[in-house]
Formats: sequence, structure tokens, C-alpha cells
Amino acid sequence: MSEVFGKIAQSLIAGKIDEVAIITKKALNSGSTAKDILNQGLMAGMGVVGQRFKANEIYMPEVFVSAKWMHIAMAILKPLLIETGLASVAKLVIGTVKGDLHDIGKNLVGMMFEGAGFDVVDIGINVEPQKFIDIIKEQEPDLLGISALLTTTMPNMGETIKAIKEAGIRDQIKILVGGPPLNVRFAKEIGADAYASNASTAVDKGKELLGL
Amino acid sequence: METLTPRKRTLMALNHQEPDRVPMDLGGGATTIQAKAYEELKKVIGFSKPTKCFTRYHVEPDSEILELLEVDTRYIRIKKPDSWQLIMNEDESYVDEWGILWEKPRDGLYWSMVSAPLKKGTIEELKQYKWPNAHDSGRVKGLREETLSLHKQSKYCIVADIPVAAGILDLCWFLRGLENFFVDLLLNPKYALKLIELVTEIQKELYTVYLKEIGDLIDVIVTGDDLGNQDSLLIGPDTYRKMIKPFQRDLINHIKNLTKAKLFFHSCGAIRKVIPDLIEIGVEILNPVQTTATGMNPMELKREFGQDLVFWGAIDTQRILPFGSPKEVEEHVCKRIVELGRGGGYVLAPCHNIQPGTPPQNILSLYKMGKQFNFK
Repeated sequence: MSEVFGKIAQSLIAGKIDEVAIITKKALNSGSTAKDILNQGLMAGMGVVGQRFKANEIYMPEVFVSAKWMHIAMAILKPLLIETGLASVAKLVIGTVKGDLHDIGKNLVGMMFEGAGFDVVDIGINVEPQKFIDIIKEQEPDLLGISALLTTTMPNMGETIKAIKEAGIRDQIKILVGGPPLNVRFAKEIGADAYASNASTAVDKGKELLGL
Repeated sequence: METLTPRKRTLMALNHQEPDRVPMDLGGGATTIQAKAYEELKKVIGFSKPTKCFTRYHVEPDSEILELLEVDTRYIRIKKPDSWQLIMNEDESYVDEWGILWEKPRDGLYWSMVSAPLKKGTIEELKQYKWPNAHDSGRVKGLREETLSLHKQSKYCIVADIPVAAGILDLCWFLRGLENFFVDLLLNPKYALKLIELVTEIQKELYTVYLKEIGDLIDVIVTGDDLGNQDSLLIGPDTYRKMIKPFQRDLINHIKNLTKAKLFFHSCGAIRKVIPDLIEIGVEILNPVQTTATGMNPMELKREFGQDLVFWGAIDTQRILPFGSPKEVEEHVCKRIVELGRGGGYVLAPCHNIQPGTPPQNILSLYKMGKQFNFK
């Protein structure tokens, strides 16, 4: 059986888009469960992708192609996963702060968390503090990711966390922040739980914060 | 040493000779100051002329302020085409002449691309697409006269700023969307190469129109392409070498057939792995030297590439310039000059546009220390 999952992971890592459907359906037909394909095939593959990306062995194009592989496979698996009532590992809500329209890093982080089995709710760019609060109340995530590219929008992260505290929901979530001008000291100053310097590290930090 | 003009000083540094002090720059597309930061600086200096911007909030610094700071460079820029006008919507969004939609958050400081026009990703779509007209004469109206006037003074180093919105890789993903284009590079290379070729051809035409007017009058010509982010290249070295580098080489060769000016290449980010490639295709000046990016240690860069490259920039605009004290800025300037300036080969400049919120005193300290420091 592990050979089947190994083949799935290898195909995902190599980004062989033309074989996604065949390989995934073959695995299902030969008795593998959707859950095992997801955990031992797809997530294992994306885990390797994440580590290689962190080590600068592969770059964004390769990551996007592997993420595309995973999406196509998930479209086949999702109905079966829902049928068996399978919960995801945890839920992440992610957005770029108010005043900032940049999303490349945020999108990459979202892909990596999906690859790690998280349910990811991406609320987009230029997100007002109140919208973060409303979505947290609606989605009840375990983890909140906040992104900023600019030194001039970084302060809005602090405003967002302050607003979350004032709304009385700070204790419900762990907060992870990221973006090029940030560092550990800044994250601490604004009351975040952790800072991640890149998309792969974000998943490691996120899992660590949630004790996974 | 004779008293050097700003131009002679800069040319010495560009030719890897050590001048009386490091030449200094302010005012390029990637080395200017944002409008709000400029307003604050003007207040402190006591200067009240209205601020002029050459694009969005990028300031065209006043000559009085450039004189005060003792900046050695002066910029000329291509004009707007007659056949296209910037029409700003009520929400301050606009579509540029490449068809890309830019938006700015209300009360925000910067515009960003929010919609890529090449949705289908087909060669047919490329054939049908309305590309910019490089040969619009509005682009060079009055440009030669303006440049001649600067050239005749023979006082400043004349830098011809980039005549196109962005680089080759930049424009391809602006037009097609980042994820789409990066996937196209691997899964649909025939399409990707067609797009890259089309963008390169338009860039070559723009440089032709520009340099036919002023190529004989300038000292530096700017080109560029953002190849890196804070900790890595955007696309891997293999993909870059296969898909983008040949076209950058073609463009640079084309530029060098039109002018003897030094070739200035701008790329943000962690680009160490492809610096040898840039040298190979003819880059002579590297900007901005983002030393906070992974692998961009200035001492190592000088040691490894200093014989072949001039470093232009390197003053940190992510942490020290906006958030440090004036003393920290001065120390930072000294450190960079020691690391990069021995034997020439360095032009001091902020390593991107000076951001709003940067204390005016820090900006003044940057140029004051740059002027004062020398190796003797």
C-alpha cells in the first residue's frame, strides 16, 4: 500500500499534472481510502515540497504546479472525505492587513497550509480589523495569519491584534504574522504569538502553536 | 586631487576608481522618495515649492534639495505617449497602457496590480491583444533639448531612467497573473516563450525610440527585472536561464548598440545565485543591493563581484533608514562605504524609495555622512 502513496507523493512533487486523475482514481479503486490518500500521499508530498522550497531547492513555479496537482486530486477526494465526515487538521484564516494589497506571500502560505491538511479561509487583501473580527467569529479558526509587505502597513497588524483583544476573542486563536519587513521582535511587540519568515516555516510555526 | 565635478566623481566610481568621496544618488524610479516623506523633509528644511511626482507618488526631487544634499546624479525620463492618457477612476484605480488594473486602498500609500488582463493564456489571445505603441512620438517630445541642456553643463552624472513600466519577467506576470504565468513557465512553455518574446520586442522598441534621441548624451541607462524576494529567487536559476535570461541578453545587447552609457540593472531581493548570469549578459551596475535579503551580504558581494560590478544603493530602507536613529543611519552609511566603496565601484543611495514615516533627520544624516566620509 505504501508504494501507492509513494507514487502519489512522487507525482505531486514532480508536478506531473497529466497523471493526477489516473493515479488518484487508481489508488481509490485498489482499496485505498480518501483519508489515507490525503494524509499519506498528498500531504506527504506537499510536506516534501515545503521543505525543498524552504531550502531553496525549488521555487514558486514548482510549488504552484504541485499545489495545482493537489487541488485536482482534492476535487476527486473531497466528496468522499465529506461522506466519511472527515475533519481537517485545523482551520486557518489568513489575510493581508488594511492598506496593503500584496498577496503573493499570503497565497503561498495558504497553499502550504492546505498541503499540510488545514482548512484555509483566505479573506483577501486590504482587510480592516473589524472584518478579521467578524470572520473569526463566523469561522472559528484555530489559527489566524496576518500578512504585510510594507513598512508603512506593518503598524496595522498591531491595530488588528488590539481590536481582536478589545473584541474579547484574542484567547480563542493563535496569531501568526509574516511579511518581509517583519521580525521576531516586532511580532512580540504587537502581541502576535509567532512570526514566520517564509511559507514553509509558517506551517511549522503554526503546527507548533497548535501543538500538532 | 583636483576638485571633482559630480559627473567626474560618479564616472570615476563607475570605472572602478576611488574618487574623493562616494558619489550619491536620489531621484531614480527605484531611488527616489515617496511624496509624504518628501513633504516632511521639505518642512524641516523650510522649502515650500509644491511637490512634483513623475509617477504615482514617486517624487521628482527639486534641484534646490538635490543641491543641498549634494546629490551627484540627475535624471531624465521618457514622456507619456500621446495615444494613451491616464484616466483615474473615482476610487483612484486606473488601467495602465499595458492594460493592467492598478488599485490603491483608500488612505493607502501605494498602488498595486490587482487584475491581470491575459486571462485565457492562449497564443490567439496574444495576437488579439492591444499592445502599447512604442513609436508614439509623444514619448520623446522635447527630450533631446532637455537632455542637451543638462549635458552642456557637464556637471552631473546623467541617468536615463527606465523607459518601460517594468522588466521582462515582471511584465509577463503582471499581464498574465503571477500564479498563471509561473505555472505556464513549466506546463505551457511554448505559450510562455511567446509572451516573453512579445514583451521583449516592445521593450526593445521603447529603448530604440528613447536612445535614438538621447543615447549619445547620457552616462547611465537603467533597465531591470525583479528576480528575487526577501529570501529567494522568484523563479529558479534553471528556469531563469532557460526562459528569461536569453531575452534579457538580447535586450541588453540591443541597448548597448544604441548607447555607450553604463548599463544599470535593478533587481530587488535575494538574487545572489544569478549575479554571475547578469554579469555575463552585460550588466555593469547592480541596484538596489538589498542587503537585508538572504545571501546579499555586501562584503561578500564586493569580494566576489566587485571587479565586474558597480554597486548602487545598499542603504537599508526596511529597518535602519525608517526606524533607526540618525546616529545609527550615519554608522550604517560608514559601514556600507567601507564595505563597498574601496577602489570605487559604489554609488550611495537608498535601497529603494524612501518610505513615508522616515524621519527627515535620518534622510539628512544619510547624505551628510555620505558627503563627509572618505578613506583618506
